[in-house]
Amino acid sequence: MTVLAATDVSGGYARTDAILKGIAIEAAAGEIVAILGPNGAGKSTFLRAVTGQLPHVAGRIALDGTDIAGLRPRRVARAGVGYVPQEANVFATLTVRENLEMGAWLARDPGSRIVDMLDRFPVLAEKRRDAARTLSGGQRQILAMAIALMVEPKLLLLDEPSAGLSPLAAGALFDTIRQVAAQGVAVVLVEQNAMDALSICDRAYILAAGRNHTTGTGAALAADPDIRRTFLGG
Amino acid sequence: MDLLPQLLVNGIVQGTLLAIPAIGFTAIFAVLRFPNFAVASHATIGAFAGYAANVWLGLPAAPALVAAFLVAGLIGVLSDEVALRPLRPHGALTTAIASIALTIVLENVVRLIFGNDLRGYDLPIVRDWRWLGVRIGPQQVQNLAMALAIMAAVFATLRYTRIGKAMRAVADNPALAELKGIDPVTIGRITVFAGMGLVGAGGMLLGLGTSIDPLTGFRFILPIFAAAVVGGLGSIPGAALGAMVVGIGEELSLLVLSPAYKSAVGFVAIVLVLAFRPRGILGERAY
Repeated sequence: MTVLAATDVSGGYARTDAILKGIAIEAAAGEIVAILGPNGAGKSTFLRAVTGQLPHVAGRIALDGTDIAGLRPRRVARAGVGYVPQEANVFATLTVRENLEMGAWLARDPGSRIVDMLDRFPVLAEKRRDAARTLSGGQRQILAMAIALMVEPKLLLLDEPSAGLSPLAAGALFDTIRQVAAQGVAVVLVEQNAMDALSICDRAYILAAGRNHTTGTGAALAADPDIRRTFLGG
Repeated sequence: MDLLPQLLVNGIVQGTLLAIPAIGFTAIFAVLRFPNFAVASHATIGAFAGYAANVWLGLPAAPALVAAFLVAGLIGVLSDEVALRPLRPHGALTTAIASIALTIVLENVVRLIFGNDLRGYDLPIVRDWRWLGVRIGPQQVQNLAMALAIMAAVFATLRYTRIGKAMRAVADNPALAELKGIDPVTIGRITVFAGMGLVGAGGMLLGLGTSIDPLTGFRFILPIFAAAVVGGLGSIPGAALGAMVVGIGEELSLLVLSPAYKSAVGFVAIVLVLAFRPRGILGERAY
């Protein structure tokens, strides 16, 4: 079942300066979709377009068939989109538990969601009374994802979740992402670490200069020598 | 008689009272990211609302303080909606300058209604207590207790209530808060109401010991601002700590300076903090 169907999405921060020039990306429930490409290709900008943070957006962004293009970030969140920005993705001065409560601002039964989430991520349960700024990089990314999962989103968008993590922490994070997808959430992630992303995703889109360049399964793209040379640095 | 213990006691009382408007000022800064100098007129408004409740309606100090909070908070939200919120997208400096204009307008509205006369609250006249050579008035002790109760309520609200946590979340990371569905406009209004309410209550608390006039708030703008800067702009425990530093510093300055120079303490505190520790004693932690 298709959760996200974005077609012909264009736009940018200024009306005259389009960063996105007609992007089409789909993601189905339970699927992990990676968005790859060189710097400036529009990967993170696309996530901002979906979440209502880009001032100028044209095209259609359908979530379960309903167009959400141009809605305010709060409305997009309410419609069922969880988004984890690359930076500043937790409330650093709030405790872990308070972070989850803020993530559950729109949730119907926040109390039981928090209990569920602490069960699911023992590392967060252990640190629930500590300020988020005391967490390690990996723990912080898990908290950021947990905050986004509080409202039981249909679609989870992750902007470079493994940036700055050790290989071990990145591996643990990718395992968590797989578990989330296995529960029926459509996951779209932007990654700089292309080979890792291809190894965990079902499908990947390669963007270049604000347009779709290539699409395929993770395995097929990882095996394509041209793609490896041009986009994956090897 | 040694002056030091008396000045210390006076300073602690004054610092505790000063903490209330300083917390209001810093809370508004934490959430809305501009220094709102309209605190001057709102302290005056609170002082006069409390006066009206106390003298005209005959209420005791504590319920009059509630009136000071509510009236200053309400006028704070309404005047913010009209004069400051539309300017916020244009930057902190623009909004801060507009807040000075707003404070002049509101101060003169108070002048129009109440005139320029000095007015005193209607409080029972009681003898000061003396203890080891230190004098302290029962009214001062009551003011101190009310200020501490208000502070406890502020901390409990921020720590335990949904709205208080949301205020801290917006102060910490406004973009993420909005992504999570927290409406920044609503949180901003609640913060202005509570912040200006505290400033109004503080204006009355500071006025209870002396007399009030339309410039009451203006006289406290420097120590309020200094307290917030010394503690770390946007930090609520910082504002309380900074108020204590400024309050005690002002009183101790009397050992070496003429009372006319007392207000220099605020200036000096701001200069020292900006020169050596610009983030303030506690940095920017909102809570």
